This record gives sequence, C-alpha cells and structure tokens, in this order.
Amino acid sequence: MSFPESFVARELDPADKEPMAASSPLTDARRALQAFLDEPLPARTGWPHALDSVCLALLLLQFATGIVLSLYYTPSPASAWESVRYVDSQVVLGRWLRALHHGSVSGLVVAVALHLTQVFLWAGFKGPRRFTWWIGATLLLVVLGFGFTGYLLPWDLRAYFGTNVGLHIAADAPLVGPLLARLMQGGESIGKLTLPRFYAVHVVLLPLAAAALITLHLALVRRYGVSPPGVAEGDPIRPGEPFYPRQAVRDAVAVLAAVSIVSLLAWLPGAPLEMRADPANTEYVPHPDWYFLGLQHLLRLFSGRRQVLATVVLPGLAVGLLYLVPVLERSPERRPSRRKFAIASGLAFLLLALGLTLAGWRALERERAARAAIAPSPGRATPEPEPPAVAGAHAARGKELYEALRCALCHEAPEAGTGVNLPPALRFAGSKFRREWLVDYLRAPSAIRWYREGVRPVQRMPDFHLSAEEAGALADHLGTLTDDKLLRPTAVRWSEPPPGAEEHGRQLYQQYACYGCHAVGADGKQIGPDLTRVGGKLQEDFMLHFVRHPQRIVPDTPMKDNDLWDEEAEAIVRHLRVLR
Amino acid sequence: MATETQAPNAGRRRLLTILLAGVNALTLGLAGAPIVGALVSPILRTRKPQWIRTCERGALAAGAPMKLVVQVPVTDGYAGGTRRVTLWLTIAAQGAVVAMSSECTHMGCNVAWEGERGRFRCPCHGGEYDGQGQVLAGPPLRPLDRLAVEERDGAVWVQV
Repeated sequence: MSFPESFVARELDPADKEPMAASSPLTDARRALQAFLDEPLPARTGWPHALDSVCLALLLLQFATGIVLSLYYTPSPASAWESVRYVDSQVVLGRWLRALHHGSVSGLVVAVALHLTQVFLWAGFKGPRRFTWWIGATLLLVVLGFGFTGYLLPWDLRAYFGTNVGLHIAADAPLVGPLLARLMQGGESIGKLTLPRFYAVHVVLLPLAAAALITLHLALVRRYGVSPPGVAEGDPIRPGEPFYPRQAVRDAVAVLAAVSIVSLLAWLPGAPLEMRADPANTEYVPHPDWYFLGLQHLLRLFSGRRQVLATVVLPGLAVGLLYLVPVLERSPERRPSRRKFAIASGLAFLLLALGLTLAGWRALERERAARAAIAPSPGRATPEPEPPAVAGAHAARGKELYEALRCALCHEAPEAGTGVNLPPALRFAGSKFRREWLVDYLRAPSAIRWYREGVRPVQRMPDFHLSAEEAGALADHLGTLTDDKLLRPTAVRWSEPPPGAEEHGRQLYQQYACYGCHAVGADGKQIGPDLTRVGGKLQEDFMLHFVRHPQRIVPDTPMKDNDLWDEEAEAIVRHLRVLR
Repeated sequence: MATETQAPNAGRRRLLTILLAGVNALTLGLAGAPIVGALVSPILRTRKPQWIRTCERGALAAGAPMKLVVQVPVTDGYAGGTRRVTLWLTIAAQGAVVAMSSECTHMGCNVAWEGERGRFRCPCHGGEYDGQGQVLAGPPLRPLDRLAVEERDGAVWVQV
C-alpha cells in the first residue's frame, strides 16, 4: 500500500502561489490546515497511534448523538422515562441512536484505557509530555463523569438506584462529603431537583470541559509530538512521513472499525431501559455500569469503619497514581526492556482493576439469583386511599375521567380491537378484564407490561399518573361496559376445579403448541400476548370465549380457531386462570 | 509623549494592582452571589417530619416483618407530591411496634426480607440485618433506621 506522498501538499501549499504579503483570513486558514495535515511524524508511527483518533472520534460521536437525543429528552421525573421510551419506540432509528450514545461511552472507556496503556508502555509521558499525560488523565475522569451523570437520565430502576449508591459514596468523603452529595442531589431526595442538576453537568459543564481539554491535549501533542515505540534516550528520533496521507488513512480505518464495533454492539442488545424509577422497589438489584463494577466491589470488601478505604482512599489513590506517573518515573529511559519495574506496576494495576470488575460482576449475578428466589413479601398493604371497595360505586366519576383523558381517541377508533398491535376495544371491557388488574394497569401501564427485563415495550398506553381513586373509578366505568351477546356469561364454576383439570389444561396447552406464539415466563415465543400473568388479568368467561373462537372477538387476530371442544377449552382456561 | 508611555513608578504600579484586584473581586462578588445562592439553595431547606397512618395493629405479627409501601408527602422543588417509600413493620419482644426504613445504612439500597434465612439482605454490597434491624453481617455500621411509631385507635402511625 503506497500513497503519492505529499502530493496534495505540494499542490495546495499556498506559499507557492501567494506571497506572504497577500495574507488573508482565508489563506491563513488554508495554511493552518495544511500545516496540520503535514505534521511531521517520527519513524515507526503506526497503527497504535490511531488510538488517539479513535478516542477523539468516539467523543465527537457522543457530542453528535447527545445533541440529537437532547431534542427529545425532558429532564423531569414526570416525563424523563417516557421521553426516553419515546426515542426508543417512536423516533426513526431512535433506538439505534440511543444505543450508540449509550454504547460509545463503554467504547470510550476502553479506547481511553488502551490509549493510556500504549502511552505508558512507550513512556510518552516524560519530559514536557507530562503535561499531555495530565490533560489526558483529566479527560479520562471527564469521560467517567459523563458516564456517572448520564446514568441517571433515563430515570429507570438502574438509573435511580445506581445514582443513589453514587451519592452515598460521595457523602462518605470526609468533611465535604455530605455537603457535596446534597449539592449534587439538590432536593431532599433524588427527584425533580436532582435530574436537572445531573442533566446540566452532563450536557453543559462536562462537554465544555471536554472541549477545552481536547483542544489543549491536541495542541500539546502538536507541540511535543507523538512518541514512537521503544526509543532509547539519546537516540535521535528519526523523522518519518507527515501525518497526511498514510497515518491519516490508518486513523480513519481505525475510527471506522471502532464506530462499527460500537454500532454493532449498540444494535444487538440496544441500550437498556428498565422499569420506571421507583424508590420503594425491593426486588431490583442496584448496580452501576460495567466500568464502575470494580469500584462497587471494593465496597463489599471493606466493612464497617474501613468503609472509607473503599469509597475515598483507594479510588483517590488510583487517580493520584495516574497523575503521579510522570513524577514517579523521572528517568529519561523509554525502552520497555529497561523499565521493568514500571511496566510490572502498570500491569499489576491493570490486572487488579480487571479482577475487581470481574469479581463485581460475579457478585452482581449472585445477588440477582438470590433476589429472584425470594417470594414477594406476604401481607403487602399500602396506606394510600384504597380503591372503592364496591365495584361499580364510582362509575359516574370514571365516565368523566374516560372523557377527560380522551380514551376514546384510541380505544374507539374504527380499527380499535380489530387486529394485532391495535388498541384494544373497550366496549366489552367489563366482560373481559379483572377489576384489580385494570386498577393496577391504569395506575402504571408501563410497569405492568415491563416486568420482564429485555422485552421490548408492547404498549403505547400513556401513563396518566392516576391516583388510586381515579384508577378505581375508571375501572368501575369500564366494568359497566359489557357485551352479553358476544361474551355470554357461562355457567362454569371456575373456583371449583375438578381434580386434575388444571394439569389436563396444561397438557392441552402443550398439545396445541400455544407456546409457539405465547410466552409464559421464559418459555415460549413473544409473537402473541405474554400469558405469564394472564390469570390475574382476564376473566375466565372471556378467556373461554376467546380460546374457542378468537376471530369472533378480534376479527383480524392471527390466532386461529382450533375448533376446541367445550371441555378442552374449559381445561385450557383452568390452566391459564392460575397463571398469576 | 515619551514620558506618558513609560511604566508608572513602583508606588503607582502597586496601587493600581491593588485597585485592579479590588475591582475584579467586586465584580466577582456581585455576579457570584446569586450564582452560588441558587446553587446551594435546596440545601438550606429542611422538611418537617409528618405522621402517616400505615396499617391496623392487628395486621402485624411477631417474627416475619411486614413490608409496607407508603406514600410520603414531599415538597420536591417547584411542586409537591408523594414519594413511594418501603417500610418494614414488626413487633419487638416487648410487644411494641417497630417501624424500620428499608434503606440499608451502608449505601442506601433497599433491603429485602429473606424469609427462609430469617434476615434482611441488601443486594448492593451484602449487608445483612436481623428481624429487628440489627446488623448481622456485611459492611453496614448502623442498624436499620427506626421511625417513630404511635398507635391510635388500633392503627399504626409512623413518622416519616
């Protein structure tokens, strides 16, 4: 692979054509660009030196994706989560955009760590280059700051609890800790005053700092040059080719590779969005992003009074060491073979960080398994006003709400209830839904349909933030909407299953391969509605009618009429009704 | 002309330097006061604890603590509202009702009751407490925070 060296350089060199006296802002700019491209590089500059361009490119990618995300995002607990979900589900390529923004932080942490390692190996921090190193180390901290402040913004469970731990760590710092944590948190709890603070730091303060530091870093690199591998002190640094074009191509290819990897990772799992933040949740296992798992694990290792070691001393020591590298190693020697102690220390540091991260990850998996094993606590009760005890008591108020919230806009549209992925028709809601489920669902639609991690949103129903009474009233109103012709009440006594009926139903469920379209827990496909808790959602009589003749109720449903016998349908419903 | 462009003498120079510092300090103070004030403003506000009704005394049993999700009224910035908080209620040896915060005293994650092991466990860093909130294992220093409890007409009121 060879390039016509400095071909363009000669042709464009303004000094050839214009005398210095003819200097104008335009020619000055061209000359500056030319000088930038013609930067002389030492011999043996190669692929590893493309890492700095990868860091820069990923940071610019953050800026670009972040600016577009900010066009949709609202930094308020009332709508942050919804706005993020809107990006994921409604914005064209929004899921990809957000995943890129989320994924390139991880990419950035890896790229910056590799870049630091490379510079450390080749001792690119000696002499005047120590300033470049210090600016670079500060940029690493800025990147971690981006990660920490960005973590809260989606306002889901991981955001809330992860940030909560972060603030507690900050509060553990001696003297200034509690004040600092309170300053970051704003209000008395993580909420309306916290989100704008994190948002402002994330989108104003840190980008300004990053831009200034990058400019300084690049200026210093230009001033003192890059360091080629393994040059002994005193050796003359042999000049190599200019930056343009060969190194420029290397940099461009490396950047393409990095952005491709991040895109691929972004596209496959996507950026996570869990259930909406809920400080009362006791099922969730809080955790930070992967690059903070090591720090999190330190907290497990140091108990009681030694806690401050994990929160402040050791992380402070690590950062301090990073800055002290140019001070601690002052010999001008730059060949790795002569810097065995330095290299070994660096390697030990890296292995320690990796080991802690791995241990943190395994501990997280263990805790997740343990939490999943605990059954929900018995006797749950809430002091919030109970929904009206008598079903139907507040139907009139519910009708008002139904109109005020304009439910008809979706649920009474001509296509409502006619096919897959359309808003359900509510004209027979009273014959279809169980009242308790309706109340829960109306109070937090997204929570009900989001109980499984990793499943995409399957509903577009907005969260109207109804109070318990309002949801109860609305459910009462819906309860009056029955259709006894289409959904004739049956005489089946559901609460008295004949022996073995549920088991028979379970076998029929398998026999008719219902799992081919429906999921129950982790079993089955997600093509049709998830049936994991269907028994708590639908009335038995409705299920019976639906299982027998689905298309009579939802004309365009892909679920086919299996011509079930009455006994079979009844047994299947007996199986389904106990899934709660 | 020539004398005017020369540097002022040492005394005047010193005076001007002090003047410059003073003027700049005044500007900074003038512009900085509202900036710092607004930044720290939320810290200066404290909330008054409130009593809320939780459940009937009869619902509680000795042994397994009961989990309660309560809505605590809060003033959060520009608008009031409620905040969902988990409490654990149990009965102490002397028969008094004990209400505990669900927040682990280590890093503030929510503990959960592991019925089979008869202890609270925090999933963040493995802190463990007994049914009365005393530390059994892990990093926490303090027992789970207790809330003031009152019984009124057979109902349990808790100060949050």
